[in-house]
Amino acid sequence: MSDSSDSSNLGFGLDDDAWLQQAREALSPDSWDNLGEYEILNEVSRGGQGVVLRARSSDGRIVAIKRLLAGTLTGVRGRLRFEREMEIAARLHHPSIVPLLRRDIVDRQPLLVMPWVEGLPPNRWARPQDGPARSQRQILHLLLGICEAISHAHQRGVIHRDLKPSNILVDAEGQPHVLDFGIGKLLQEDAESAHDLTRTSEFVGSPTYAPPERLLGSSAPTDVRDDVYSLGVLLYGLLADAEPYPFGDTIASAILALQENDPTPIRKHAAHIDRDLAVVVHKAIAKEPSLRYASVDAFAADLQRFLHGEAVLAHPPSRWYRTQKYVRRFPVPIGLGALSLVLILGFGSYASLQAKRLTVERNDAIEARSEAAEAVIRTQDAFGFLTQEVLAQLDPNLRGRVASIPEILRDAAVDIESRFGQDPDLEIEIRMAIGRLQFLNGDFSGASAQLDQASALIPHAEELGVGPSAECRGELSLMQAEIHMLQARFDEVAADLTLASQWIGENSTYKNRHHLARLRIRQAVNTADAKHAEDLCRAHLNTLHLPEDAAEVWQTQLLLASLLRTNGKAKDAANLAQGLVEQARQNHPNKNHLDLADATREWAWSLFHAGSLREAEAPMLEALAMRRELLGPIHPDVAQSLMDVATWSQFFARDAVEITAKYEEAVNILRSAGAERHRLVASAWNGLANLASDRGDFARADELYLEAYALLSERLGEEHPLLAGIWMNRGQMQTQSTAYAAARASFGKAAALLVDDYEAHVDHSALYMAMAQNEEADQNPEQAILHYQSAIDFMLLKDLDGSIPLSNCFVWMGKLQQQLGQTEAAASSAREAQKWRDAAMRGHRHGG
Amino acid sequence: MVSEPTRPSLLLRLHDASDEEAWNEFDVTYRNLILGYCRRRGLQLGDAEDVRQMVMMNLSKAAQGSFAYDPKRGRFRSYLARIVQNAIRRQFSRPNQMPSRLATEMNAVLADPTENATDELWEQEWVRHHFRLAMMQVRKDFEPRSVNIFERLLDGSPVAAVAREFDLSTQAVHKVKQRIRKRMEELIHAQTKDENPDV
Repeated sequence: MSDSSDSSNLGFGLDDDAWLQQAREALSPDSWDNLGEYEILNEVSRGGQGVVLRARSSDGRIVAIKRLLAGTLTGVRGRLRFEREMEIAARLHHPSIVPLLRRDIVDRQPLLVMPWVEGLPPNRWARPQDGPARSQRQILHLLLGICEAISHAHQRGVIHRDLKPSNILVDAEGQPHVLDFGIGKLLQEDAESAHDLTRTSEFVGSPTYAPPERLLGSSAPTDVRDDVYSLGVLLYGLLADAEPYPFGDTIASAILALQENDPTPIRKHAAHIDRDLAVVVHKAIAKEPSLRYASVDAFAADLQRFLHGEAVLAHPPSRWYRTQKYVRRFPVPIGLGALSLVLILGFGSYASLQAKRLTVERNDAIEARSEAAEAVIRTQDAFGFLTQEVLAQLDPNLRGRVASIPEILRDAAVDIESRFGQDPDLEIEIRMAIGRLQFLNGDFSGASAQLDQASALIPHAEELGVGPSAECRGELSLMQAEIHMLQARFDEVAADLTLASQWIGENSTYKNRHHLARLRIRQAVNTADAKHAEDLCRAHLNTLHLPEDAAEVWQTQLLLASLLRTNGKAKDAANLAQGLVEQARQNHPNKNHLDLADATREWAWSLFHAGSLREAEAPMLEALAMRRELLGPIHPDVAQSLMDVATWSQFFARDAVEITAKYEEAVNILRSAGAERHRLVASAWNGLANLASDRGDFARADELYLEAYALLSERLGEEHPLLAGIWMNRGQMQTQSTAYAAARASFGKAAALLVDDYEAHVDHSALYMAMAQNEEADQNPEQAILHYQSAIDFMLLKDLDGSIPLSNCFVWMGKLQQQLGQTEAAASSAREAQKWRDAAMRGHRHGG
Repeated sequence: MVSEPTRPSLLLRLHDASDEEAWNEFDVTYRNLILGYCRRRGLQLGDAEDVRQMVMMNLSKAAQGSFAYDPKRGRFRSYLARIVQNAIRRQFSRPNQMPSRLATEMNAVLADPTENATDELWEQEWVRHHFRLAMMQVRKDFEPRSVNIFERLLDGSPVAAVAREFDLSTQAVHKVKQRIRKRMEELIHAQTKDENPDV
């Protein structure tokens, strides 16, 4: 794909000399790719790990350059590992942590550059050659300073792993400076992979400071308690000028010493050390990690207590502690809100189990750091994280019961503003993430609230120059459109789609473009423009011709199936839907998933509308079961399926109590999902009204019809064809209650609404049948026959294979004709009735 | 280290976050390009390193999602250019902050149609990049002697002098130069093809 300008730049087609010139320029060495900018002053040390040089950089700074000997790090694989570790370490900003100025691999050697620190290792500082030894108090203060630095690192997920005197420098003011974070891990891995553990000097420096479990070959992951141990040994040495174990010269002897001995009590080396202090030290260097301090903070806290003359916590529980000093209680478990926020934020790609444990322990410092927030956004799959981490780790003891996901999310949402108030861009992204999760879990009002708030923040973010991107804004509008559509607020959907179209265009992701296309189609359906919707659908399908579009094609075809059904092509819809179900099953043979449920449902309804009413039952029930399994009991789609089953059952005059229960359950679900104004609720009321009518409670039925009408007309406007269904049902109820004139009026209203379009949501034929029955009941056979005829005409427009209702029409019409003495007509009707009934029974043959 | 035409494109392999080898190869291959460009834009080495880190991290995350490089949407050169340019911008607008948030950054990269994809400096670095890669392979493919001859020529020594130095005829020296040139052109051609795998 190179164009001509490429060719000449890259030298193609040039004559030899010109080409050579080109190559010469292109291959001239990079002036920066060496150590040229440093002037080496002197070599400071040389050891198993590598060489340390003191140098001056080109800007005059004195630096320390460490060149590490690390065989595997120079490999291609090791490089990225090295840089990852160093990148983590580079995030540490603390006065007592020596920053990395540069990290690199040059000439196959890892190289670290850091500011030069003038100071002494702690043991030399504690016992200077020229001067008095430091006091215990001074030593403890030093160690607390070191602990503070280590704790800072731990909070950011960095464990030093190689704490020892040579990695700590104490300056003239007595401030500690800790070096070489993260290197220990790299070198350890390097040594392990080289199977070189037997070389004492190479074993991460010195076995004295390495926790026993490392030496004894534990395969457990690195833990903050490694550092606790090292600090403990450091303190031991500073206080007593001795080591806890009698290690020899080799690793083997060190391991032996560890296996056979317990640490020498520090008071054996230095009797003047306070008992309490001794206990603290020994707790830090406990062989068994679970007996150590669980964190550096805990260790430091006990040291503080000792310094302040308070009781230390280190004593084993069995020892009775007689004292006037008070005992501080352990921190109480943190509340769910803070916990859930932390878990949601997590630590992104650098999470270690340890880091998470740290945050739980630090009950006072669960600050939502920007890094953490950026981490979750970086993962871009907060939902996956949430289901795995939160649900796995949520501790029922903190709350007495397991919270539901919507509750967790709402709790988490409460804290957002206080955490992110200063960062509107982060707040927007987090609110969008939570809103999306709430939406997926059916909490629409929660989601709506989050997304609205996110929208509201956009101007503020823009002022600060951190406004969200076009893609982000497009997605926000799409999500809002989805929610509004579910809540049947179609005007708002229209506004959302207009907004989304501004932000989503040629350069947007496929996902968003497709989502927008489908929303447009569905909106066309919702605004009763089903024909146009079908066209939009086919147009959209025509744009999808790539292999990766397969899923989108499937989704769009499903949408097309429902449109076909709506437009009276029920048989085509059924075939299409059946094919989609099979396809979905093939793709995921043993698994249920939401797409399959949707397709199954669509299939059920198509069958129903195509006249195969009984066959529709099984898939309908399947869809309900699948949705319940996948979505849990309180998702609006479950409500929808419940209503499907209820409607179907009603048609077949199943048990009224059961049907009522289903409708009521559906309404409750919709309410708790914040969709109480959804038109499904109106449908439910309509259904319940029908049931009331069936049992003769006409007053109640009327109430419910009118409620349903009120809600539906509010949602859809008074001209909407769907309202015809309610009028029709009400008319039927009125027929039952012998209010024939009122029934006529109701039917008239229904017919008026259906005048313009063939609207298969409400079956025209059903309306005419109802009208016919009303006239029949009111002793107007001629009128009734006319209405039956209209009903038959409408039914014949559908491409039915067989149809019981059609057959029924002929039967009833035939009877009336007989009554009126129209024998020929009656006979013809009877034949037709037979034909359509037989066809329906056979199920597959065309009538006539 | 340079892909031969028959191997699956390195860039496509990047879609698999667990393909460490591919990522490492990518890192080594493009490292100097990114650093060189940054330096030529005037960044200090430390900043250039930070930018490179940022770019690598963002690329690795992007590759797993919908922001991965898509050959149908343009050349890899332009895609990478935008990521690097964005990272540089970020480096200087928020100097003490962490690497930028993925979503908005990648969105900006993809959505901004005005981003200058014909950055002169970038194009120059790109040329250097290709030559550099090809040269590394040439060192593996040819006898050290031939490579030395070639390097002499690159240094600017006239053909006659080089011939004397290596005790060869001038035609022989020319031959070496032509063979290496041909090989390098083949390699560069394959490299550019690799960066824009045919859909």
